[in-house]
Amino acid sequence: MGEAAFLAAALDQLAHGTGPVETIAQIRDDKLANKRAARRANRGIKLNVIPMIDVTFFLLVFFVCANKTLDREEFLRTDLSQRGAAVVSPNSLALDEPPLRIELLRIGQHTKIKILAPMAQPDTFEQLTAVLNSKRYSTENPTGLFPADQPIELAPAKDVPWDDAVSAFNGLVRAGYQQIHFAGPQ
Amino acid sequence: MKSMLTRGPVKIEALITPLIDIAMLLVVFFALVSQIGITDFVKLNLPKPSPTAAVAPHNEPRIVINAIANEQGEVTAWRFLNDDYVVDPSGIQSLCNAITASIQANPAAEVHLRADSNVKYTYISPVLDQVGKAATKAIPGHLVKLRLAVQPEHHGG
Repeated sequence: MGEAAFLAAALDQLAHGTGPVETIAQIRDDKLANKRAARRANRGIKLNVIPMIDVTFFLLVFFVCANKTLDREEFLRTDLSQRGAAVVSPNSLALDEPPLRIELLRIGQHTKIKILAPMAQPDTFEQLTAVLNSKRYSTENPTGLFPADQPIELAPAKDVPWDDAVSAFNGLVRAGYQQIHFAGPQ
Repeated sequence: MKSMLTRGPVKIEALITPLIDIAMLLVVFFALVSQIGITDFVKLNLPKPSPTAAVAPHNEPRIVINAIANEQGEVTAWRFLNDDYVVDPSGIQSLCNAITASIQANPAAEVHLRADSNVKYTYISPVLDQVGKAATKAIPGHLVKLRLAVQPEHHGG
């Protein structure tokens, strides 16, 4: 059938309600569908997302738990070199320089701080930090009495709670001193 | 019957993904159980200085000494490497020997001292002495890196 005849027949059929326009559209749709099917068949790679999510959650749980376990405490750093010298030296607290002695006394339910040096006596651990920080020699504070490596001997009384002893130690560290040692109980 | 014969050979596939899932689960489980199983850490109400100058722990080997105390702040025993040492001269001496052996085995280890906040200093001081002596006994002139355990400021408890 020639093209002109085909078109004439198509126009005729279109005038009667059915026609080649539908047929052409169907053919076009079929071709597109076939192309899509072929494209789908060529795709061999599939991504399984669910196991990835599983593993991600496991890792998340693991790190959350590990973080909680490790993050539960911190440490104040010191060393026991001077006390360790006790075996060699007859004096367990033998130091090169005379240490600045700070005593912690227990009076009732309160711990009293006593610095054995002529300076203002602190009432709280905050004040201890402030007082000793003001006495520490540095370029910003050239009138300071003590260098940062001044040995400090912290001497809590027998009945002083460990919390207060550690708070005093913490206050001295915060004041910028590096050689702080615990003395034996008074 | 005919349809069964025409199906052809049955294709058997091993599903690896659930196996890997379970393996991961077991790894996580044992990792957590081993953390819990470490008896180095006794539940204690550690001191909580504020504001703190404390630092987070490093990934260094450690020797952990725990003071087991009662409500009156009296230490009833020292726990070191799963063993409890009584608070008397012989117990302290045994603790010193155990610490000496540990330091000899691992000279770079940090000594972590964990004590309840209400423990009286009279119980802590002899142990500080013994740790220093143990270090010198283990390695002459050895410097003990003592770490005092405190509660972090942001900790809820």
